[in-house]
Amino acid sequence: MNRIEDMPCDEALDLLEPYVDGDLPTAVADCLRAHLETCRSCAGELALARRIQSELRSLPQLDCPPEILERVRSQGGEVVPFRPRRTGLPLRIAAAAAMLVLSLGGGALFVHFQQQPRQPSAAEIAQATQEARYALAYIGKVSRRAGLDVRDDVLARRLVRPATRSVSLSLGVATQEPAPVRGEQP
Amino acid sequence: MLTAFDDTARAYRRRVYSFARYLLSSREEAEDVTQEVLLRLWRHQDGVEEERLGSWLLRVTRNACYDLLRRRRSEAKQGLATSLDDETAQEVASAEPDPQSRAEAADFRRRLLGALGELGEPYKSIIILREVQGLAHREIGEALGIPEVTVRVHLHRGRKKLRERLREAEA
Amino acid sequence: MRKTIIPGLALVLFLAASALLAQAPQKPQKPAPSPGFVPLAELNLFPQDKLSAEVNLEGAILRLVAAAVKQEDPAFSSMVASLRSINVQVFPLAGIDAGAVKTKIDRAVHWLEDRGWKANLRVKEKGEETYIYLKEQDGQIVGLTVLTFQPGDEAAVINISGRIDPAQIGRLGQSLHVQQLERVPAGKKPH
Repeated sequence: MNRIEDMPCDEALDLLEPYVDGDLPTAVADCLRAHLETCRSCAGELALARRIQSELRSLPQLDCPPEILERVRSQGGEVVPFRPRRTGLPLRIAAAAAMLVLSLGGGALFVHFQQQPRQPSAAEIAQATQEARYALAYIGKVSRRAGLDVRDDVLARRLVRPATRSVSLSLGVATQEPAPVRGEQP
Repeated sequence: MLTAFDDTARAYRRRVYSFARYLLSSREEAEDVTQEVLLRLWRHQDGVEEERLGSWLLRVTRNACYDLLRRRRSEAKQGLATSLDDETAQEVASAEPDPQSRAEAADFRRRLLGALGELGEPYKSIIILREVQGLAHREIGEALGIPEVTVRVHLHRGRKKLRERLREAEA
Repeated sequence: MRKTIIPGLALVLFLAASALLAQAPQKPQKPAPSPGFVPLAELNLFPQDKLSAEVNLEGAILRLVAAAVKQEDPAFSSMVASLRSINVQVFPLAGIDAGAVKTKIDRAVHWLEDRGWKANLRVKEKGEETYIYLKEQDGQIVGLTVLTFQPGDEAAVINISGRIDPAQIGRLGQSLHVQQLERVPAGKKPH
């Protein structure tokens, strides 16, 4: 079949974009090319298809205002919105009181208590979660303040590696020499 | 001191922002989306493999834009929709040296951006990622979770739709 | 000191109860402390009744925390799941002579070094001091202790024990902020 004469305009119009991209099989591309040589209307559409692509490719990459990154760094991090309540002392007193009552109150109950410790409530787990996040946040804060960005690459270099070798030479001076200017250990 | 987050954010923020900006046609919304995406990068970088970071960021960006577009569509029903903003049109103004050519080119570009803005998904995303941002079909497929061949088909159809709309507008 | 009295009292009472109830099963043994655990009470860094913040979390509650946040924050969950304890003490220094606290911080540094902790970061600048110490066992980091002394602001000690990936802790810490914490006026008791 001679497709050159057979290819109708609507079929040609369907093939313009793949033709522009070079995605048509050679035989089909040849048929389309032949059609375009004889059809001014479709040739005009091809010119438009090419211009659209060319115009899209010349659109600039738009740049993000630098303050966006700053915003993420300064405000975006998850805020730890609380200061942990002091639970240590009251808990210890409560624990002692409980022990006293239970010990005097009966061994069976005591044993039951020991075998089945009270499950913390959801609120207590939520509080503990906040406290754990607080501890991490504090490490983050201290690190930032010390000029140390505690990230994996930095930590791998400064924390993990030194810990696996002797650090006495590099760090032992700390207690013998005047305070060094802010800086990392070698 | 630069951290890996900074490095990554600097490397990708332009791509994220530009994608969002063309997808949304709004500077303000694109900034919001970029901030949201970078925040997610900060919080979830542990869970993202480095080689998939680019496609992950684009997927997150597109989803964030979709959310905004959905909201916008519901606002459109109430007559509150926005079209291509002037700022975007100005920022992408043609740089033709001759005033007459510049005016004609600017007009064509404005109409093209208008048509792009009205194009549905996934055509719009694919055209932006491929033609404006120059990503490979494979990268786009990874970002959008579709086969490479589908990317090509959608790209052709999307550009054809643009051509038809521009032609209709001329007529 | 209080911490030593109470377990002692409990033990006496327990023995008394056990003697009365011979058939009662034995009390389960308390697990040995993790080698990376630092008994902050023993260090006696700050007056216990003047702490502005305190965290005392141990294994069981940490595992519950890990389970609770597994879906929402898998990185944080996996980090917490491998920990044995998290302890924090924060002591406000505003308006007080911090000299005594500084001396105690120095003493704590020696305490750690005497027990095999290795310093990995020391920063001293304008009176501020920050130390990060790690405890290693069999090639694994099992303890992380941060000491910080900021005159006019606050001093703090943080100890984390368990199976520790310092990189992960650093990464998570980096993404968290204590901005609101910093807005709490010094000396105000948190609740």
